[in-house]
Amino acid sequence: MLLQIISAFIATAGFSILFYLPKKYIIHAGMTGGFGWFIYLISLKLTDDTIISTLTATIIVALTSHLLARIYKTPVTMFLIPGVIPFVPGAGMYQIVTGIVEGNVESTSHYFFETLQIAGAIALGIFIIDTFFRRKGKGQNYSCNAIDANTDNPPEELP
Amino acid sequence: MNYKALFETAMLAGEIMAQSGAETYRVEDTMIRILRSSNLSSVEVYATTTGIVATLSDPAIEPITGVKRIINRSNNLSRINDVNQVSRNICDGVMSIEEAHVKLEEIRQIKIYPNSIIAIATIISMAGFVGIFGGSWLDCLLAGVNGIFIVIIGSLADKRIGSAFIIDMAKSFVLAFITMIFAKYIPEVNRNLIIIGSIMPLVPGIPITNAIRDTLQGDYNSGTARAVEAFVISLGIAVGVGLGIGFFNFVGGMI
Repeated sequence: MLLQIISAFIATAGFSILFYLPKKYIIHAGMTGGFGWFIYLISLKLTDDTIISTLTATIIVALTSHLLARIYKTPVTMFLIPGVIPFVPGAGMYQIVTGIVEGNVESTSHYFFETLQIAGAIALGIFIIDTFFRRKGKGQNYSCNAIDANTDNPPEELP
Repeated sequence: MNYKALFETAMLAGEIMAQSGAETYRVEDTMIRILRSSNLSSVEVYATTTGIVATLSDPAIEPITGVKRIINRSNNLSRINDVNQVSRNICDGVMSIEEAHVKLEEIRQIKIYPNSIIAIATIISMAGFVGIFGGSWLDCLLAGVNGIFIVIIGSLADKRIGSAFIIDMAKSFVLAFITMIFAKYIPEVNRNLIIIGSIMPLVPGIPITNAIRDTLQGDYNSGTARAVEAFVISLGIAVGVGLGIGFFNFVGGMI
């Protein structure tokens, strides 16, 4: 399990370079990915349910990313995109294709719905934390008068 | 104040962000922040995944309107971060519009990692992804070998072939085919894991994340566009892998 978490760190950090993440944030992105995968494995052990575990782990990843983004004053996607990558259902996609190649309709439809469910779980996880931070994020340290992406308040009209 | 220069700076900022794979609301928000620093009464920005429209207007001046078509999109988080910083600096009054324009042009040119680093990162992350799913050392190593092929195809295809769909398809075709050959001669490897780990660097991470965030933000236009983009990329990978395995089953006896 430790090996898997270290792999997650390496893979996420490597991945963030492919997305041209600035050097100073690579370690943070890798930690987000590694931590997310740790939560996923723990949850998988406790519940034995891929969907629930993906949801739990994405919530944690999104939460970590938002906190890091607040601390370093960067866009949240800097950490969120690399962090979410390990959960993207590449395995499901592969199983769908092998099912098609082998003419195994049952396996294809099974993995098709599982892939959709995992994608839904990732979306839900990001949704939940984003919504939470939109409420909490009022009072940004910006001097410009603009639509604040993190509040529901419309901008004040300028004189 | 030179409104024309301000407008062009805002347009450039929006363009770089949209081309680098920023969420639509962030593109709009950045441009609005920069345009608002003029203190004019009417500022409108409408961004989608494929284009930007903006207007700056006031009873005192002739309205300025511009359209920017976004054709090429790539993933570049560092540019998003840098443009974000520039817009913050403009808002805080630390940076003048002229300085910002120069800085933005610089950001557009700069490439923070050379191709060799990207190639190494591709190979390492492919090996890493096999490790994530519980592969053995040998599996990781073979995925790394796959990575070398992917890098070679990428460097050959990027300049010659315009379609990302075809490139993704070719890459996943090759890696599926090569993995099948590995699995034939080295029976103890787990070919499923190697293929899954190898396709991970190709999966559309940014479109998926942005599709979710854009939709939540109420930018349904961009949300749907990105979801379709993610689907098309996935389809390319899936077709490539399918063809690779199918092709091996067809010619595998001869190899």
